[in-house]
Amino acid sequence: MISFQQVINFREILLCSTLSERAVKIEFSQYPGPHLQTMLKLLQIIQTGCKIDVNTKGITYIPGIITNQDGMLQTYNCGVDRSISYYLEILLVLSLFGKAPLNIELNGITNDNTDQSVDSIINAYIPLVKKFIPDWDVSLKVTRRGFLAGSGTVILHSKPIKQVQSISLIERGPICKIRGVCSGSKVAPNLLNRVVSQCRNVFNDYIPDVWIHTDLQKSQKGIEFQSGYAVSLIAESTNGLFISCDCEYSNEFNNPENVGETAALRLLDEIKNSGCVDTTQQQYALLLMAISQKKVSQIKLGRISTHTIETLRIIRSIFGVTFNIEDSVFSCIGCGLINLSRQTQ
Amino acid sequence: MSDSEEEQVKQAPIIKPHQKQQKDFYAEQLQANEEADSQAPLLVVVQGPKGSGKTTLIKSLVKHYTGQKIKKLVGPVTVRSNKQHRVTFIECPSDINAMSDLSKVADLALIMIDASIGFEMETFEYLSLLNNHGFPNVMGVLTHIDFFKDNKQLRKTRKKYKKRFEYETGGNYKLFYLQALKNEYYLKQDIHNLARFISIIKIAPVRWKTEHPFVLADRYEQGKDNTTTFYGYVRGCTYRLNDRIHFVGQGDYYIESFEEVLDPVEIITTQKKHRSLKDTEKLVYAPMSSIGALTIDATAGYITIPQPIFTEKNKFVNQEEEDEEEVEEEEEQELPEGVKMVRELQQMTEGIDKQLEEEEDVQLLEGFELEQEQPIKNKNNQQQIQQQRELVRLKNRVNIKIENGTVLPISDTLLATDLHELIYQNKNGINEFDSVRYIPKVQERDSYKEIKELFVTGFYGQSDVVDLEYLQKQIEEEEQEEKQEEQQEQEKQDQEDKQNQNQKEKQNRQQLVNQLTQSNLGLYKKGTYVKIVIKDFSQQIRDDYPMILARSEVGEDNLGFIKIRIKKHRWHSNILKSNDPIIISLGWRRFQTIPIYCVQDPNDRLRFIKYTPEYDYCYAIFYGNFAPQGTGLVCTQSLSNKLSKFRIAATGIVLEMNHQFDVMKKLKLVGEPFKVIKNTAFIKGMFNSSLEVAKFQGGLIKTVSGLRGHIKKPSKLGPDGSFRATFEDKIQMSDLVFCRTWVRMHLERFYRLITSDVKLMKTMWELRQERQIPLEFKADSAYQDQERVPVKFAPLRIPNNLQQNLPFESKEKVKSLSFREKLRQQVEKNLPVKSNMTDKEKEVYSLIQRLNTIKNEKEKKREEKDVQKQKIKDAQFKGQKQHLEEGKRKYKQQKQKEKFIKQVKKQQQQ
Repeated sequence: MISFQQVINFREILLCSTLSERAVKIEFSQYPGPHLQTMLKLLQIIQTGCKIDVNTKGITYIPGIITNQDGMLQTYNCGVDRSISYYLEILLVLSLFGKAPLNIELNGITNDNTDQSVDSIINAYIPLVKKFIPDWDVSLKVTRRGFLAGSGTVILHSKPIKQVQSISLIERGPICKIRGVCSGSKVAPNLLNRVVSQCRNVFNDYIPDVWIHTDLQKSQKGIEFQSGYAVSLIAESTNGLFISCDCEYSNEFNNPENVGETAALRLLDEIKNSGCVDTTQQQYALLLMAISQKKVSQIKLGRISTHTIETLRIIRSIFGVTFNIEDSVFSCIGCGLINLSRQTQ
Repeated sequence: MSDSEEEQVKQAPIIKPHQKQQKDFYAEQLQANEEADSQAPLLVVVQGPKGSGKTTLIKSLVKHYTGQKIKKLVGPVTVRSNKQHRVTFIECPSDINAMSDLSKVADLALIMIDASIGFEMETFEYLSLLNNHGFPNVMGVLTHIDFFKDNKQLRKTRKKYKKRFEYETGGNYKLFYLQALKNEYYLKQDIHNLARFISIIKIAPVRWKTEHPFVLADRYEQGKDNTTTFYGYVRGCTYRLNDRIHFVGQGDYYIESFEEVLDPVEIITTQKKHRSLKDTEKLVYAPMSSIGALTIDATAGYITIPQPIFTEKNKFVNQEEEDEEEVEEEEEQELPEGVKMVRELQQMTEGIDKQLEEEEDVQLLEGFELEQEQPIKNKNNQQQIQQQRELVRLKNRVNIKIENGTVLPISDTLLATDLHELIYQNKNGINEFDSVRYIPKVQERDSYKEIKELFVTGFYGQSDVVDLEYLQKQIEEEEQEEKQEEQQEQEKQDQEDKQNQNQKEKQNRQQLVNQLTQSNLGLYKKGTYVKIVIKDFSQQIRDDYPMILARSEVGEDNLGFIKIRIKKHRWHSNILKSNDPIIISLGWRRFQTIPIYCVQDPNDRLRFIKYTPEYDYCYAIFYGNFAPQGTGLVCTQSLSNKLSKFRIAATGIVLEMNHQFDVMKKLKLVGEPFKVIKNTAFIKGMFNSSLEVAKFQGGLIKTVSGLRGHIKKPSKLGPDGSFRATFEDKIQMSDLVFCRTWVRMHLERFYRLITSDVKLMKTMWELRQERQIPLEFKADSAYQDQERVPVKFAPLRIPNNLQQNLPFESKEKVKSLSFREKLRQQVEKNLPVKSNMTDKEKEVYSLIQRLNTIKNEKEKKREEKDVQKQKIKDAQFKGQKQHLEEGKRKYKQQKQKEKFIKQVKKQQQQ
């Protein structure tokens, strides 16, 4: 049993614990929020033999084996506390180490201010994981958009694998493409075009190859949609690496021009300051490196977020993997995690 | 093994399935092997039955390598075989625990076979253990060859053993013959050959070992407070530091400290002219056996004596001239402190304890620095890092506070080393923020102009197209000839470049690995000599058992249900029963558990079976430690060392792990009808209450005669639990009705790690034997003699009504027979005896008959002759056997005589 004290960031701990099948004890410094329960229930759904004990101070979590309900399609409501991608980020990693393929329909928020959007996950996060697993069979589709109230729906299908391969990402290469998705619901279609044109306006100084799709949610009977719009931008480098960033409509950015310009500038900032992976996703790249096969993998990072530091500490205490840092290149020998729940004949 | 089994041996060696898997695995492994430049000493396990010459072989090999004589052999012995290569020998006791442990760690197994006896059971047991724990390299060694005086017989037996060994090892083998002993050692030439083959062997990678590092402890020291220190080489693969370690055969323990210490048998890296070893470089390290080695201190290390440098030379080297003594004196000044001390000790007249009584302050270790105590981890490297850190702190005393949403830019102000410290040593703000995405703080639009060079447009990496095609063509024609020449040259260059690149890549990869292992991240390369201190170790250690300290991987400490494919061993005498405890050796661990055997139905249902099939595979599910899929395992029924029967009960392979398995057992519920109305019947006796019936509503039922039906509803008629059912036809009152159901079997969560003082769970049979409890007798289960009265059917009676309607011919009274029936009756009455043969035909027939009788007579005679021949052959064979046994007896008698004479002579001398 590994114990963590004074913790709020429980998600990475639970993820590492489930992967390594080591029990953890977490003591919270303050109650994280209702999404704790949502997360624990989701973990219980995809596992067997999992034991969770929740009390006022913290939780004791004994992971089981990820069976994914033998590949049956499940539906899960992620609530309105956190967006779907908060759960997707770890669900995608966990589904790699399952017994059967994961088929799940998640309901909730697709775009919000705290987490990255589902589009960024599709266009940047999944390609990143695919760097580690070239022949990974995965599909993630947005069937309905949901802003704030959480009427969005996402269908995930992912097949398990045997082992994560090691990587070496040292050079990002110059940026050659910029793609994006501008989504909205219950707003004027014109609004999205204004966001796109403002983005283009910024990028025109740098690159002509900019292509931003617009995706306006059509009204459906019996479903109430909240109004809102957001843009997710992805920069692709010549070496096939992706850098993403998001911007949503909020009180701060309340007109489309403002949203478009902020999104574009944020992407420029990311390109300027990050290495091979953007700042939000660097912790997952490091985690995958730590659980990869027993070879040297290395990655070049730019600025390091505080969450990454936390994740690195968690990785060390659970997997025992310490990274060597030299000139912003993080390197390690993976712990060779094998999918123990896999079925063989 | 008996003769009959040897006859079963087929001609061609069979490639077993595990070896096929292994082959695929080689290709993967070769790549990984590049990354480990230093190798641990080759681990050679010497196994054989009692009296087959294991100890003698190790002693003679050590003598061959180093010239040292081992008096008493205990534990592993490491020798330096050449500058880059070290070999560890360990003797395998015939205990089943030690055998299975050593089969998991061996790089090379030397299997000793007593030629005068033949293959013994231990040999086969060990081979099947090796088979199932990944097949390492195997060499057979035939000893006691001098038993065969007759050359022809020797050749025959050699051939026989070779064939058998080839079959057992699947063609991947080498068989050596060791002739007679000479001065208690094997002949020099034989040992030289064997040693050569040991040193050039290519290690076959075993999957388990390449993924699981371990330490085979050379020696141990039990200190105060139950702490025990173990020393040994890291083997298998790179060791990643963990807080726990598994002592094979003892249990899990927490590590107090784990550090690298001085290697007693170092690899010699300095390049010199001579490839062979100097006498001083010939080293043997066997801390547990007695070679006259000297241990100084508990923690400081030891001194091995490659040469008699500890004793003063002039004491026993009297033949040397005086000139050399001067040189020796000079040498003595340069001698290491330890040697000086030992020499002083040798000159002492009084014991240390007496000296201590006389003087209060006796400095035992005067001027002697125990350098070995300190862990050596690239001092220079550490110093550099520290200097860097201090510099950074002096430059800008940055007091970095981590707050939510901030980032750490990597720049001149923050060096990588400092970042490392910040992440791993600074406890500032750990886990105090919930994970959110990072939102960049945007600056003004113009400030990003500088990153324009990070973008690229157009056909990146490709040159532009030239517009003037005509011009281009002209130039091309001119250049073509030149180009061809250039191309050829380029191809050559490319090949060279590729080779260089490959080498460079290898070197780069190696550098990376070295960098990581040297940078203090808790990684220990294989081949490093380490010291492990374990807390609270109260178990007693047996010296003759191997001490294996192993690290289990992530997730493998967990307990759960494991599904395996299992097969009873073909030589085990009895089949295995479900729910009988069994000892399983899986991964590093050996444990007792309760398995359930099952087979898989076509619809993927796991169906419970009471016993394992005799010759077939089945599945087993038990509660145990997780191990990766494809890991081999071996089952035994007891730990006793009686060799009365083959000890390995079953072998298997891990398929799947889960916390829950549905193993179903068929249950037939039986009821009988008490009222039948057309297709409806009321059935009693199947259930006990109407509630139970309600649970089974709509269920399928069947009568003995095969009529199918459904359970409808509980009925008020009859006893409680009776119900109404409908069938496809009217059933009879005498019919029984079955309802076929499946019951989930309870899987027992029983797990007991086998340690030296374990108490094993007993099987029912053992308990019955112990307490003299007879088998339970169930009256129902006993077979009864049934007297069946032959059924007398009533004669067929055709109703009058029907008869009237029948056609005239079919009427009973006037029923006339058909033409065929008439004919048959006629034939039956009087068979026609009418000959159709002519006289000529008769003659032919008789001739054929006569010829046949002649032929039969001939065959009879031939058979008689064959039988006689066979008899003669058998008699000859028996004679041979008797001759052989006589020879054996005489050999033994002779030996005894020789011994006796020796003893008498000794006594006389005394």
